[in-house]
Amino acid sequence: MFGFKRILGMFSNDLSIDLGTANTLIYVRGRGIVLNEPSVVAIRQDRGPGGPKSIAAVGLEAKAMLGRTPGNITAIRPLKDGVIADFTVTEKMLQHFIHKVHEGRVFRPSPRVLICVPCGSTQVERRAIKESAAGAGAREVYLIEEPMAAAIGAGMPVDEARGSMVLDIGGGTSEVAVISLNGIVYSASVRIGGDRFDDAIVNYVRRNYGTLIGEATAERIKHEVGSAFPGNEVREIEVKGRNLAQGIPRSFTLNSNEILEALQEPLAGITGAVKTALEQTPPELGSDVAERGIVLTGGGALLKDLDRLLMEETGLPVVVADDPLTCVARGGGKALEMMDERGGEVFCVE
Amino acid sequence: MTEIPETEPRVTQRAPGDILKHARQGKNLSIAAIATQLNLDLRTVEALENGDLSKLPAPIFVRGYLRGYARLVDVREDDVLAAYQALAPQEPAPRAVSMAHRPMRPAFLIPSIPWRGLLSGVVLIGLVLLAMEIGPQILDRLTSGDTTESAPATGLALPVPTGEAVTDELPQSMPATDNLSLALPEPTPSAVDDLQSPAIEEIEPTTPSDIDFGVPSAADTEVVAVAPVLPPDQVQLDINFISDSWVEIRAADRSKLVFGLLRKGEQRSVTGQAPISVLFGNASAVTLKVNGEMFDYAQFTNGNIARFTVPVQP
Repeated sequence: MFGFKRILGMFSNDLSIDLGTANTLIYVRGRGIVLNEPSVVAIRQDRGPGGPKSIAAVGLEAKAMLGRTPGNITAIRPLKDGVIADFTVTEKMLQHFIHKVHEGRVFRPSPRVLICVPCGSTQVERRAIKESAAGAGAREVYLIEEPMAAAIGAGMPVDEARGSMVLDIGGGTSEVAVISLNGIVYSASVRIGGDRFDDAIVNYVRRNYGTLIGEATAERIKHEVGSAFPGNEVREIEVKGRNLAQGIPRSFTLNSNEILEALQEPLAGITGAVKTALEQTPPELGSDVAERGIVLTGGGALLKDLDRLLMEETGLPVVVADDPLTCVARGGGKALEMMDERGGEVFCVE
Repeated sequence: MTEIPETEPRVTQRAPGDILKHARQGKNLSIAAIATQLNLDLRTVEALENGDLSKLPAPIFVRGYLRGYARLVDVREDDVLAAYQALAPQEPAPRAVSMAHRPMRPAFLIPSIPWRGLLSGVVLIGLVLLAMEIGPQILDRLTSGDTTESAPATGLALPVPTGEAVTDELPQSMPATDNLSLALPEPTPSAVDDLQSPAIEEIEPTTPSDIDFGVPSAADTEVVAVAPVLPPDQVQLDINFISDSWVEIRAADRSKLVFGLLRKGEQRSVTGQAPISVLFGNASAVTLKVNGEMFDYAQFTNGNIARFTVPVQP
C-alpha cells in the first residue's frame, strides 16, 4: 500500500506543525501560516458516563467553551507541558486540523509532516507525537526540536560557526538553546510558559482579593496589562470574578504593577534557565552570544518588557523576533525546504 | 551636525541611523549611554547610526537593536524599521500572519522533479483510460449517426480495385528489387489516373446527391439515436438511483462499466458488449432500463442484492 499513500501524497502539501500546549500552528509550504488555532478539543459524551464520545468542537470554537461547558461536554487541552497528555484526543485534533488545511480536496490528504517537539521531551513522548500524526493521516513524520525551529524561523544564522542563543517561551514550556553549525550545542527546557503565567495570576487574585477568576480571564489580564518589567505607565483592567467569602461575582480593578508582582515567580524560573544556559555554554560560543544577544520567540515573548527584564538580568542584548508567535511553525517549514534542497534529514531528531 | 535641520522634513527617506541619531541628540544622550542601556558595543551602536551593514550581524538582530534604540529615544519603532527596510530591501519584511499568500515556487525549482513527472504520468494514464472509456461511444456515434461522413469514405472506397492494383504491385516490387524499375512506372501512371480521374469523377457526382441524402437522414438518426443505433451485440443500460447503492456492471470481457457507490438521485447510462453482468447492492433503490425499456430484475434479487446478466441467460 506504500505506493498508494505516495500517490495520495502528491495531492497533499508538506506541512510544518507547531503542536503547542496553547496553540497549534500549521505552515504549508509555499503558502505560509494557514492555521493558528488553540489546542483545545471539546468532547461530547452522550447518555451518561461510559456513553459514546464524539468531538463537539476543535480549536477556536472549543476554546470559547473552556470552563463554560454543560455536564455532557468537556473542553480539554490534550497537550500539557508541551507533550501529549491525551493521545486519542490529540490524534483527533491533528486529524481535524490537517483536514481543515486540505479543505476542498478530492483525495484524503496524506501529507509529509514535520512536527516540533520540546527538546526536553522523552523518547516515549516523541514517539507518542509521531504516532499521533501518523494516525491523523500523515505519510511521513519528522520531528524537529523546538528551539532549532524557532531559531530558523526567526532568521538566525544557524548554519554559521557562531553561537546563537534562542529562548522560546511557549504555552507549556520554555526552551533555551545555543545553536551553532545547524546543531544544538546546549539546550534546556523548563516547564514554565504562558499557562504558568495564567496560573500565577489566578493564584495572586485569589490570595490578594479573595476572588476566583477563570483561566480565560487570567489570560486576558496577562495580554492587556501583563508586563515583566516595571514601566513608566500603570495600566488598569476591570475584572469580574467570584468572591470567595460572599460567593457572588464581584467586579474589581487590577493594575499592571500587581500583575508584575504576580508574575515574579514564573519569570524568575525563566531567567534562571537562561542564566544556567549561559553558564553551561562553551566560552567561545558564549562570547558570540554576548556580542549579538539572545533572541526571544514564542507567544511568551509578547509579554510586555520581557526583553528588558532579560537585558537587566543577564547584561546581554536581547531582541524579540519579528512575529514571535509563528517563528516555530515558519522555522519548521524552512527546515522542510532545506531538507529537500540538501537531502537527508538535516535537523531531524528521532 | 549642521545638516540635520535640513534633512528633517524628509523623514521617510532618511536612513534609520539618521532618525535615531537625531532623536538621541535631541535627548542629549551620548552613544555610550545608548550602548550601556542596550548592552551593546560602542561600535555596534556607531554602525547602527552610520548604517554600516557590514559591521552588523544578521538582520534579525539589527531589527531588534533598532527597536530597542527607538524605544529608548521615543521614536516610533515602525518608522525606524520601515527606514531599515528601505535600506536593506533584500530582506523581506515578515508579516503578522506571514506570507499567507506568497506565490508558489515554480514547480521545476523543486528538486523532487520525478514527482511532478509521475503526477503528469498519472494524469496521462487517466486520460488514456478516459479515452478508452469514451472512445467506443464516440466511434459508435460516428459510424451510426453521420452518413455525410461515411459518404466520402465510400467514395474513396470505390477506387479500391485501383488501390489493390497499387498494393498488389508493392509486395511484388519489395522482394524483387530488379522489378522495381519495371514495376514502379507501370502502376504509378495507372494509379494516378485511377485515383484522379475516376475518383474525382465519382466524388463530384456523388457528393451532391449524398448531401441531399445525408442532411435529412442525419436529422432522422438524431431522433432515433438512442436505441436502434446500437449494434446487435451492444446493450444500453439506463440506471436511476432512488437511494444510495453499490453498483458493479461489467461487460462481456469483464471490463468495469460502473463500479462504485452511487448516490441518491444520480443517473448512469452505459453501453457495453452483451452479456453484461450487473450487481446492485441495494436493489430496491435502483430502476433499470435496458435498451430504453424497463427491466424487472425482481426474480434475481436475493435479500435486496440483485445479481443478473443482460440479456437474461438461462
